[in-house]
Amino acid sequence: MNRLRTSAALDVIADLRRRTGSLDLIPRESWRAPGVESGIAKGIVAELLGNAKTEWLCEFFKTHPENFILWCEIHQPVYPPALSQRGIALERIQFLRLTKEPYQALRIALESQFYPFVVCPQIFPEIKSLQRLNLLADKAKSTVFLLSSEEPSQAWPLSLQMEINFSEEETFLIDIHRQKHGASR
Amino acid sequence: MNVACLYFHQDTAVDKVAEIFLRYSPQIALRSREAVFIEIGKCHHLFSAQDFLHEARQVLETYHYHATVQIADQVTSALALARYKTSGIDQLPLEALLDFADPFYRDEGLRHITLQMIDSFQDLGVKNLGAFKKIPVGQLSARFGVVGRFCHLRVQQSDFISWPLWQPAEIILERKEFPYFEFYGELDPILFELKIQIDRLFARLSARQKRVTGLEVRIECERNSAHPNNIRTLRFDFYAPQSMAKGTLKILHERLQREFEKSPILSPIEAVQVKVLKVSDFNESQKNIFNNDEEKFEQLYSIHNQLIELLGKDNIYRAELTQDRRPERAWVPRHDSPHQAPQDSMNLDDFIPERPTYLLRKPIPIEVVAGFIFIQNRKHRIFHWHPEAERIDGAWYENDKQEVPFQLNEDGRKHYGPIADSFHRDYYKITIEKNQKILIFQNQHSKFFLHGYYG
Repeated sequence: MNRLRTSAALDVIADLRRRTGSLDLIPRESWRAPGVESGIAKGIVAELLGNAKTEWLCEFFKTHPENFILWCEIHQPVYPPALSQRGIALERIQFLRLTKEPYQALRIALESQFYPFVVCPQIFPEIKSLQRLNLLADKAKSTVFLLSSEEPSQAWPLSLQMEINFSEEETFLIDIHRQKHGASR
Repeated sequence: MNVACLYFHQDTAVDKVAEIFLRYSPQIALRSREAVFIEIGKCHHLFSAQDFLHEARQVLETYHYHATVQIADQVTSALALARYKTSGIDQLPLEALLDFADPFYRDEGLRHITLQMIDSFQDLGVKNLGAFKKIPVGQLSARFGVVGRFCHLRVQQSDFISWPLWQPAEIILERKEFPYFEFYGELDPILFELKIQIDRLFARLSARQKRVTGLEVRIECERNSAHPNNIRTLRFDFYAPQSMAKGTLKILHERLQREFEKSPILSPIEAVQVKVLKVSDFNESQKNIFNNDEEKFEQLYSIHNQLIELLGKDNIYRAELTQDRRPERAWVPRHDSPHQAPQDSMNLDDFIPERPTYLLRKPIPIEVVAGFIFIQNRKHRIFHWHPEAERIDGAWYENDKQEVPFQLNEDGRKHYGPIADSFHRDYYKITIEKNQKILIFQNQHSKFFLHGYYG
């Protein structure tokens, strides 16, 4: 019964898409990610929440040891020896203290297409800034991780929202709030 | 001998063009504001005459120079063929004799006598060098003396010509003046002009095997009562040497944008000038065909410079581990080249317990009471007290007056306290609500502090 309902719903969605002239999306290239079967898409802005988000990021970066990382910080900097202990070579990481014009600094880094991974605190409350960031990330094929300690943002340009917490067994409990994988042709 | 001549039909600063062509041959001579001569015969193993011709035209087009390029056996013929754009010496007009007599524009007297000779022969109906060559040398000597014989030898290309010494200028500078006040203080026209100048500067530096580390941009405006500070001088010190115009232009753009926003230009611009202040050596060997790491790092340095320009040098760093056991001193920021592997660093990762992902700048005093922990007057239940503990301790040889970073006064000033307060610590990892793990330590007075958290 449920399956029938699902298939009917999909038909309705497909019909609505046709009528509204929405674009067919192709799946994006993605990075392998621990605990996320579908992987993390390239060229998106992702918001990470929860009390194990940095630990999960370390695991994620460890699985892609050949790529450079730009790690931006404002108030509470990440502790580099911890990253080294978790298997990330520190020479891969360039740290930025965003004292002013955070968007401009990110723009320079993303436009260079040199950093496939960018980590930054979630300091973009406006949809317009996130939209610009999304466009830059898409063009650079970089994945921008916004680390947030508040409620999940409602902004539409965020393609992925994941809440990662520690479980009692010290593994990751990953809750995907939003996942929009796909790029227009 | 194989000589290439770049002949400029308009008045041009040929010494700047010559610098660009230094990478093709070190033997270069100039004819003041008219022509550049490049001896390419000795470089025939590196490139053929046709290759050079093709590349030279491309280089001239790239840097916005308009010139005719011609290759011949001698300086004289190369110059005359380039000036008159003919294919053979015999078809050259008789005026070309001036170029044969004095290709480097060195002897005014010789030019004067040669001009008289040209007039005489034109009256006699000799119109080109083909006809001139047929005149017996004896007649030339009898009528025009040594100059006649000299010109005959030059046209027959049987005379040795010494090249004047030319050395590139000490100061590398590009400047353009705008006599008609084409534009006001808009940024875009200035950037267009700067791009041309920067391209040329980098080509000149590349030929000298140098990279720029300091630049000065000078914008001169018309002086009037509304705009007393009519000369803007912006100095750029690049953290990593620059050899790519694109990246440098971005840095210039960022600074100029801010400068123009802060203090707009209120009068017409008269001149834009770029001057190289500091250079560093750059050994440009053959390009690596197996990887493009060098180009990648060049780009990276450019981004690094842009970010420094935007955020300041202190806000961009890479982290390097130290061998200090105190968590707050276990690493140091390095503000040098990005993504550079540390030299001779010993990795102690396997010898120390897992550290938290975030370390507090200043430890927070906490209280631990009967299964609960009080952090800033908030009560948290302790779910798990991990059995591993780490003890770090001071040593007899360590200085009593060492700065202890977390011993800061309320006003943020450093306080030099007795080291025993900070240096004897027992670290514990505990889990509180929501499986949040934190790192606390107990000092020798049995007081607890929160020092970091995981996740």
